[in-house]
Amino acid sequence: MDLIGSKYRITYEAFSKFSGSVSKARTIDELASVVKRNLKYFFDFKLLRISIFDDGKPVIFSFQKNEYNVCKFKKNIQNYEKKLLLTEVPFRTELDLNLINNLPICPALIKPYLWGWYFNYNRIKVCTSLISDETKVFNNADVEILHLLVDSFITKYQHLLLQDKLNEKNKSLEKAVKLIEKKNLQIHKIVNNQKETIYNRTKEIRKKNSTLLEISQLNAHNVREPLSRILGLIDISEHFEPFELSENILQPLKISATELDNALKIIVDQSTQEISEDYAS
Amino acid sequence: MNNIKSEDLTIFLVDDQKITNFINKKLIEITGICKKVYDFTIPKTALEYLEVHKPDLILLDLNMPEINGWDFLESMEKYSTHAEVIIVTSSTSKLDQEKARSYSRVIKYYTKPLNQYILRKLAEKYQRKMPLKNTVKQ
Repeated sequence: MDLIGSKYRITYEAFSKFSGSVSKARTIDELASVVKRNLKYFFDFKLLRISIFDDGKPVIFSFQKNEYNVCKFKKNIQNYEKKLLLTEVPFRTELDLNLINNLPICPALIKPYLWGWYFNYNRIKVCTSLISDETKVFNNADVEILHLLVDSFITKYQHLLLQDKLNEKNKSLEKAVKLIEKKNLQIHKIVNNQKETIYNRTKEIRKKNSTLLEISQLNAHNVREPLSRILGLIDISEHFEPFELSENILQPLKISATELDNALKIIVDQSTQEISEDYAS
Repeated sequence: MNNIKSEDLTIFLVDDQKITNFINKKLIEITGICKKVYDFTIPKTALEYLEVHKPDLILLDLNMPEINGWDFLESMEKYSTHAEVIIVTSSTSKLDQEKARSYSRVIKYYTKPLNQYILRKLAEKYQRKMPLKNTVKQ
């Protein structure tokens, strides 16, 4: 087996191991750590930068030997990255230290090269750049594995971002549900309170109503009783001889009419009393 | 009961108002339902005479002192009597009407006053029960 062939085999084995670790990452920090640990198995480099532009907002991952950092400041965007976003054309050039700012690299580089690639993933744009030198040589054969790496990284990154957003939404939803529950409880309390208030306030009225009903039933009876006799007497009166009328009809009529009169007097007195009580209270 | 001729009927009037009994008695006389009518202003006395006169029909008032119509209906169960009861009351209460329905003895419920029309219908009811017997006699 030739050297290149065995190198490929080793690299792809490393990549398959890397993929497994990536899929297990639960946070973006874990994901970046996985990349940091595995980079050295894929290719040599001094600095690898993966700058993600999500809606124009940058999230920049910088990987060096055994360390990485994340930066979200716009001022940290390199000029060559701005150019890359415009042209979208990959490049490889000798590194001019004057053209870069704030990059965490040791100045003692021997014949450094700067590489740049542009990737587009629907909503997000990615600039990947790499610095290599004589001690850490990066060459064209490594580009393919770099692409695979960035692909895998960005896919997982988006996945985790989505998960974060979902978790956040869930949290705010939970909060909303709790708030609604709390409000419901409050409303329930208010309703109960109102019920009680209404019950108490109508107690008096209900009592009065039942008293009035009693009075009216009693009165109905007291009035109807003599009245029914008067009607009955009139009904049968035609069946008496004139001389019988006085004793059989007129006398009981007088008695019944007097009773009716008394019953009505009592009712008038009662109603007047009820009304004056109402006014008094 | 089903085999009694209308004029053989015995009727009790139970009402604490003498005048009411007088009116109802006259109405019965006018409509000729029967000849044997006994009126009582004291319900207790009516109960005591249940087994003596064996009434077929009792016109019963509800609102009476000491023993009211309901008490009277309950007490009737202690006597051997086949009498049916018609309630005649000045109460217009729906509750009373409902309650009356729970007594199997009670066949009608009238609000006062009774009149000739009601009694004629009652007379017809009892006459209609007899035609067979009358035909056989002839």
